[in-house]
Amino acid sequence: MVAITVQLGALVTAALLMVIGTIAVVYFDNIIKKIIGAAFIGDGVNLLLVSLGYRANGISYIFLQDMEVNSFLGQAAYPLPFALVLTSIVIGASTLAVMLALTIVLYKRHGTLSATTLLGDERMGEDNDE
Amino acid sequence: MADINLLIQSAIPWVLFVFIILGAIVCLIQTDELRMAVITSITGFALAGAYQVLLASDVALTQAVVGAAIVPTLIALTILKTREEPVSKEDGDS
Repeated sequence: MVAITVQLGALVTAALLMVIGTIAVVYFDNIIKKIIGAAFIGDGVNLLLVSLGYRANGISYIFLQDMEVNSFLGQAAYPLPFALVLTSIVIGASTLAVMLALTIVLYKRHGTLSATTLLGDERMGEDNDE
Repeated sequence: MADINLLIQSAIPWVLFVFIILGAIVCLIQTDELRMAVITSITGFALAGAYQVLLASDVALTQAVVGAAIVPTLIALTILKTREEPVSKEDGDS
């Protein structure tokens, strides 16, 4: 019997976010929805990493002056995944911005946001496109 | 009264997790694209709350700014740009 803890809930939520993002990337036709799905996959990975550093009934990893060192080490959350995730969030936002900019360029060239139409354009218009 | 407070406190993470999943699903099944961009911020903000519950305060601050403000703005700007008529190639490549 597995105890239903907050950490387990966070792990399940991260897995569901990654599944939803993968479904959106694979099956949806609109390119903006595909990009939002990719952002959801990144969010799921971030939540997975953060939930690995969580400690039940713990405290935040800030060492104040009147704390005992041993009790702090026994209670504080593990801060290394948090530092990784802090970088990952900013990089995720930057890659999202680049993907959206490329989407605007694609729309200005082809006039559509549908992935299947874009692929069809690519195959049929090879001889008369430039 | 204390029981109710304890119940509310222990229910907060689960409500946030449900908001994350429901926000993601509802965002992706929208047909109006601008509404989709706004609903993205629900997932971002609930993620920020979940990070705070999971003892990562600095990550929660960053996620609240990036996920609830910057990302929906970028998506909405892209949607507004792609609603204009595309410039055809015959008009020149200015």
